[in-house]
Amino acid sequence: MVDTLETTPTFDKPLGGRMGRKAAKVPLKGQELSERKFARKLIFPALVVAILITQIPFIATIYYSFQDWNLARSEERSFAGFENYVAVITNGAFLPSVWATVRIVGGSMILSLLLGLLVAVLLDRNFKGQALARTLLITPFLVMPAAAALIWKYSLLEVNTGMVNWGLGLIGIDPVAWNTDHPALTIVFTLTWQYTPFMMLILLAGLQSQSAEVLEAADVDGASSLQTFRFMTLPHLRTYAELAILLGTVFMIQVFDPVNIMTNGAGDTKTIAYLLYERAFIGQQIGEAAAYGVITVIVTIVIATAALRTMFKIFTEEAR
Amino acid sequence: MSITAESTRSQTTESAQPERSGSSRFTRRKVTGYFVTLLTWVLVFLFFFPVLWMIVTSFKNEGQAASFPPEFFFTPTFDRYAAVFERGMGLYLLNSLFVAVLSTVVVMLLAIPAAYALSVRPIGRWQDGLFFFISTKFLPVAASIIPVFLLLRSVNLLDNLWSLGLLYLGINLPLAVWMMRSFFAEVPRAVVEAAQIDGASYNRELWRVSLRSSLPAPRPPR
Repeated sequence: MVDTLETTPTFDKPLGGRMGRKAAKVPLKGQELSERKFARKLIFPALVVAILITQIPFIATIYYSFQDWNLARSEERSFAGFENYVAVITNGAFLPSVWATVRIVGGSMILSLLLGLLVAVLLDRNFKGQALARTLLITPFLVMPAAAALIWKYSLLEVNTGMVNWGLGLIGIDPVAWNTDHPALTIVFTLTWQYTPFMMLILLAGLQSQSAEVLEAADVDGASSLQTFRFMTLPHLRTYAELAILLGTVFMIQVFDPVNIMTNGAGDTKTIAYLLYERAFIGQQIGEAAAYGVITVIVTIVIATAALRTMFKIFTEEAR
Repeated sequence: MSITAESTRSQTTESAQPERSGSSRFTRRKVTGYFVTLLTWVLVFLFFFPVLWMIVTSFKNEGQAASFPPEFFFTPTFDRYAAVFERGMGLYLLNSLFVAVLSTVVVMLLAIPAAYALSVRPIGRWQDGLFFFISTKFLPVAASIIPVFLLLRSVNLLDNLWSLGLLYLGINLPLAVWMMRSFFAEVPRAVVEAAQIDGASYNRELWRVSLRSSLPAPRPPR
């Protein structure tokens, strides 16, 4: 168990700023020591379950990635060394898929975070029907990804019968062939629509956890709402935004249903997850697909860490 | 927001003086308030529209559903619903419900103590622990499904709701740990300390104090 923990990269900065001070090394007294032991017992069940359910498949994936194994000829299975990895990197499909993933995930991430923040701020006011508005806004997140992809592809973005083109027609804009001309954009629309409520939920929790007295004090001291927002609310939201960005990025990198349903990977939308599916279930190359999986884990760790660090920077600068 | 900003400031800086021109400022503030509320509802409508449209379409027959320009007024029909349930939708719903409820209950029982040990009373190296949980989500499901499929096949547990629940458990546990941790992190330390001084046992402190104060609660109006 300890080994698994040690292989994971360490953040040198505390993830949730406020708990950082607990890390200071103080000799523990008897009672504290027993509390520590109890805390370990608390985390133990979750840790064991997570390791059993997720690490066994992961280790198997690493093992498969070193095997030459095609499901169509499963008796000819043999050790392949790094052949699968070489194949992944040299076959020319990998880098474009990383680029497609970065564009789609990055675009949807930024859009849904900004929209989520806007909606969270708007919903943090008191107005009639606040609860209803919040419930209606959460619904996109509750729609199954496959269903969301179908709604967007056929009901909304279809060139001849879609509601978006109908709406554009009302204000005199010619129909746009979204699905064929802008495939990447259609996926960004769908993802943004699904993840804005997710961002909004996390950021709204952050907004509502602000102490009312402090905000009142700022108001009395003559701070404008804009100043309060910029210098008090935004820094306060930091932990929440970090959480939203990290989870959002990790979820969106895995995105599969919209790509499969809306574009089949056409037009710069072949993300890593979709490429992996293609290799494993269409190409039946278990070894190569596993190698994609292992590389995806590495890429995800890099992207998620970079996203976190950038956010740290932006927020510390804004807090000044 | 930025428009309200100005009026808020002018009102508060002059609030020491008797409010002479207060009424016009008050109306201005009210008007911006209505405007912001209107904007909120427009956004809400835009976000909800795809779902609304899906619901509306489900009451149309096939011809109406495909017609263009869209038909807003039609006689609703339940034919499509009848067709879906004839194809066994009821059983599918029950399956989903069973797996979702089962896995959520188990996930929360595991995640709440873990999140507590990672935030309110952090164990040593809690950041590594936290990162471990999220790192289990980095492997695309498409990749891990192959070993999972082969494993479950070898122990004859394919086509089984319990194994599906087990998978959901693995998928959702990290998310739950992270969400609960960020809520726990916002519980004021004073509350926890007060509970300790009052002699709450560790167990009680965990389930009552932290959980209760981390539940989303409405904030009094500013």
